[in-house]
Amino acid sequence: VDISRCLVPLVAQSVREGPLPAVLLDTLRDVARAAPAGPHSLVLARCAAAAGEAGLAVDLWEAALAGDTDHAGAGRQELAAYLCHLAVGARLQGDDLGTVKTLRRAASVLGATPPEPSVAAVAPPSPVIVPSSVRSPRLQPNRRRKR
Amino acid sequence: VTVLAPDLLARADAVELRAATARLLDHLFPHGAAAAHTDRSAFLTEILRQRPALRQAVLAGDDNATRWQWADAAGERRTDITFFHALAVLYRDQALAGKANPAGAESYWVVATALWTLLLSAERFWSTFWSGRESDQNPEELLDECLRSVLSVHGALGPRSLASGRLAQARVHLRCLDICCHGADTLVAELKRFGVAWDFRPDRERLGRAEEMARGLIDKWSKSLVRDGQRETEDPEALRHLPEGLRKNYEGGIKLLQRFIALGAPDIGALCSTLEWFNDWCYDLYVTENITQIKKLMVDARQVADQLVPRCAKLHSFRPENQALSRHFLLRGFLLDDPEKAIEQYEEALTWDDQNVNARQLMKGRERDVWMKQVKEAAEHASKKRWAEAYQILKKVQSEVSGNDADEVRRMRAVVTFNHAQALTEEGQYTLALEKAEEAARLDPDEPVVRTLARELKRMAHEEANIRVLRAARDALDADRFREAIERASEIPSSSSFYQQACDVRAAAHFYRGIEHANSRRLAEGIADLDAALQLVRDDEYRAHIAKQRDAMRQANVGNELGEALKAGNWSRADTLLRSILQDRSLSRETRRNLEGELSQVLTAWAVQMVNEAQEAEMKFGAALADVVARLKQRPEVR
Repeated sequence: VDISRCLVPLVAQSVREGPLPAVLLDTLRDVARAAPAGPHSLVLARCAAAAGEAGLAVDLWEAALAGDTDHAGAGRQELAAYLCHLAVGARLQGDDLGTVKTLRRAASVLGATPPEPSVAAVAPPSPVIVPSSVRSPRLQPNRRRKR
Repeated sequence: VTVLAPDLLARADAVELRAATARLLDHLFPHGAAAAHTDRSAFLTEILRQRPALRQAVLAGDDNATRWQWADAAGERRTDITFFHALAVLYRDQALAGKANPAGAESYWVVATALWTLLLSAERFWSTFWSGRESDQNPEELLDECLRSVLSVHGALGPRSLASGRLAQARVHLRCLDICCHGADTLVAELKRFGVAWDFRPDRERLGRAEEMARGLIDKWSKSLVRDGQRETEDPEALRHLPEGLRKNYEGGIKLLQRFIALGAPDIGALCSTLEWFNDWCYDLYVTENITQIKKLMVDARQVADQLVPRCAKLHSFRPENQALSRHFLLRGFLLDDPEKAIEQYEEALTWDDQNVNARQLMKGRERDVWMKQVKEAAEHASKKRWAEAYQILKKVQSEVSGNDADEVRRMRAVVTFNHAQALTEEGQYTLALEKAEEAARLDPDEPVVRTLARELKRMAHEEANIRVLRAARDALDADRFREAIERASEIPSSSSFYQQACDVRAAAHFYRGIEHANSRRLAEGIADLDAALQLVRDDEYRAHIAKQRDAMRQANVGNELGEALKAGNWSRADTLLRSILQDRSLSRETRRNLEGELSQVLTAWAVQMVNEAQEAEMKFGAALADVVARLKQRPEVR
């Protein structure tokens, strides 16, 4: 039996009834790993998204769109929308940095260049200034300075 | 819906800034209330937007980098009054939100108060936020209103915290008011302590207004506590259970105020009232002679006084705090055993209140103790013949005392000088001794002993050489060098007043030398020495003793010669010897009787010898006659 052929209907059926069984999830991963990038990956990506496997879904999606240079195309718009959905989820969970990262990934999918991370975040400590009273030698009583 | 990349980037940026702002707030206010993104923190968001490095450090959770970046950002805004205003608002929000959190309360309250006070006193603040506004309100009234809203919170929360036993919070509120009373430098230093650098010049008048208001609030707080304390000291229920002799429940009042004092920034009123109660308590205990309890109380009283001293000026002796301090120092002096240290305390008491009669009296008493102690020390030196030290002390003491005390010290000097004169006399330094004796007589002309010594010394001074010779003779005598003793003592002329003493030395030397001769069987020399001694001695008893010794020697000598004469049957010699002895009238009766008996025996023996010799001669004559007759008969012519 070519499991990949019946995988999509099985996943569609299963997610309607509840969480994806582990055996199906493993199969989905195996198939995704074995299958070459192409239109079929897009189907698998949607399956993974439906199953809640966001990371796998996005990877499959990006693999499927690797050769697609149309940044305004439907495929990229669909992935960007999915990423926005993930960003909202992260935001709702209070994960601001996750939100930012996901939104920037979505923008990148649409052809934008994400901002470079700042350099020199760690500044060297300022030199400690010794008070002049400490640096200057103390004058001793009954002792003259050497000339 | 079409998703656009720029929109996504902008949204991502906004979320990141919001997250960074929240984290920066957490960094700046680690003990603060939960950070909320409000307009109050918008300036932080703006700074984070402008400084990607700060944003990066904050998001990476790198505290060190965040600290440096924040300091750098704040440094860039040193001349931006709006930055400090925003910071002041934020600190005050945090302080108010975290009222119940003592850990962060101090820094938030102190920075908020210091920043607001400095802002309200800075011309730049008013020109930035007020110029151009139309208002009928008097600027001074407005300043007062602003200051009141900044400071009155401490005046309200401080006493409430103290009353409910939340001392840490109470301490913070008092501290906030206190730093406003010490000028711009203190406020700036406080900000610096918490990492905020302030460079704007404050307006002295506005700052003075803040100081006045803060002082007023502390004063109000303190006065209210003093009133409570006074009520406590007079509480009838407490008074009923007090030990005998105590007029008030001082302990109750003091405890109440000590909690306020312990907050670290007490005002003069609280300190003064506490110290007065301590003083009154000690006086009550003094009346009941409970000195041990006074000593215990003074430990705490001293802490109060030490805090009061730097807050008062010595010139204002009429002020209650000066009088309280004066009484306190009097008590310190009273408890000290060392008179010199006690005097220091009495002097301190008089510098606070020169009308403190009690301190003056006690000091006078202790001054006497001090110089008496010094005089004793001088006497101790004198007894060990350390005259220079003794004179130095007495001279110093005399320059410090007056009246009757001066007379007493003068007499003490006379005693020491007199002793010195006596010591010099013993050493034979009569000229120096005379000087000292005359000085002693000048110091105490009424002392007859001193005058007598001076008179004696005058007489002795010109015989100093004779006395030296006499001392040498005595030393020789003590060392059994009799010949030297006799020779040295003989040098003193009969005109000297020491002549008789010299004769006594010579007599003693002859006597002991005579005895020495006798013991060596040189009786003739011994007798000669004892004869010489008898010539010199005047004392009858001594003479009799020497005479007895000489007689014994003579007897022994005569006995020897007599023995030899008797042994040789030389009765004539024996007769001569015995008769010569018997001629001495100083012989004792017993000796005389013995000698006379012996003479009688000698004469008897001599007589017997003479009879025997006569008989022998007669017999020899008869024999010779018979011989002659026989010879004659043999002659033919006779036949």
